[in-house]
Parts: sequence; C-alpha cells; structure tokens
Amino acid sequence: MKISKITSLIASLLALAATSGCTVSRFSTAEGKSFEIGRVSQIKVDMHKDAVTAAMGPPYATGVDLDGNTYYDYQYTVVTNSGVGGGIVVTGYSGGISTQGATMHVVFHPATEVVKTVQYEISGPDNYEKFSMGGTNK
Amino acid sequence: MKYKIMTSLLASALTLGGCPTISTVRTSVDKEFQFADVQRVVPGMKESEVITLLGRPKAFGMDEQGKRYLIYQVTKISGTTGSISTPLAMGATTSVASRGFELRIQIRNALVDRVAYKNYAPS
Repeated sequence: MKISKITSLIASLLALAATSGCTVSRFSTAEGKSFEIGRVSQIKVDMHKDAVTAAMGPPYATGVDLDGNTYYDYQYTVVTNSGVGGGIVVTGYSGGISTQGATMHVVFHPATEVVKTVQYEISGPDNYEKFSMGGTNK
Repeated sequence: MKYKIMTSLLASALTLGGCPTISTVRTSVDKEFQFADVQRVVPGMKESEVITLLGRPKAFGMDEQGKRYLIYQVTKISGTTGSISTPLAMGATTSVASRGFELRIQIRNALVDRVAYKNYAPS
C-alpha cells in the first residue's frame, strides 16, 4: 500500500513535470518616439536646426555635450524577445532577441545652429533592404 | 508516515527552496555563418558580396565622420539564475556569459574599407 502511494506520487509529479510549465513568450519593448527612418539620409552637415526639425519632427531628446555643442537625439527602437521556457524544479528558457528601429544623433554648432555632425544607426535586416539605398549613401 | 514525510519535503522544496533557471538567448540573424567566414571579408570587397556571404546586417549606419558601416552580431547569451524564496526573505543571483562574435565593417564607395571584430570566449 505504501509503495503504491509513493509510486503514484512519483508518477503524478513526473506527469506534472512533463505537461506543465512549457510557455511560449513574446515581449516587445519600444523605446523613444516614432519618426520617419527614411528621412535620416536627408540630414546633412550645414543644414539649419529648423530644417532638421521640419524634416524629422521634434526630437526625442535634446542636450548640450561636453564641448558646448547642442544636439538632437532621435530614437525609436523596438526590442523583441521571444522564446520557449518551462520546468518545475529546474526552469529552462531558450529564445531569441531582435531589434528594429533607428537612432540618430545630430550635433549643431552652438553659435550658428547648423549641423556639425550627424550619425545614425538603423537596426533590422528588413530595414537594410528598405533604407540602405544600395550602399550609395556614403 | 513515510509518505507524509516525503510530501512535506517536496512541498518545502517547492515553496521555500530555490528554483534554478537556465536560459539561452540568441541574437536573431538574417543568415547563420561561422567566424571563419569573417576572415573572408577583406578590404576592397563589394558591399553586395558581403551581403551574399553574411546575409543582411543586424544594423547599418553612418558614424560621426560620415563613414558608412555594417554591424553583424552572432551571439548567444547563456545565463543561470538561482533564487530562494521564503516567507521572510527572498533573493536571487544571476550569472551570464556571451559566446559568439560581433563584426563591424566600414564601407567606402560601396567597398569594404576596414573590418573590426570582437570574439567572445574564443576557443
């Protein structure tokens, strides 16, 4: 009788372990403020700050760097985590992470308010096809 | 009696003890490639040839000097988390380690200009 109860307890736990806790998950975290990624190549050195705002819209953040230059930051990135996890006594998780979106940092001359430098990074293989312009925007 | 003791021990282990978590997160890539393929990317190669060899990049951009670049990341982050939870206190400790590599290719006139990489835990 005792053996039967213990066996049934172990069987129940094994069944529970086998059937529970297997979860498919997908979480996305968006950061920043949406903007037109296709317009980043329009921003050129010597462009006035007003023209940058007209093309890109208001920035996500503005600031002053250590050299006293003002800058605009544009950012909209979506990080997606997806995977499968589960378990009872030991939990396991296997997944992938991908990033889509873009960031752009535009530095202005403090006196003239024209673009001094511009740098950007566009994430996501699909965006390479859409916005890389065949590698011609050197 | 033995049954009750076993049940109690299991219940204690599940409610008071720690459940370790083992996780693996890979960076999504357009195409799987090996570190050996990175050695085949050399200055003067066409950007389109890089795409054929390594797939579309994880990201691309233009740096402060106006130089165009491509970013590839083939990494796997493995982590282990141990935790303990009791009615009075709880805590957790996590350790993570990356494996794989990252690659930055500078492009000039649609040709590879320079290549930089970072290799995690090379064997």
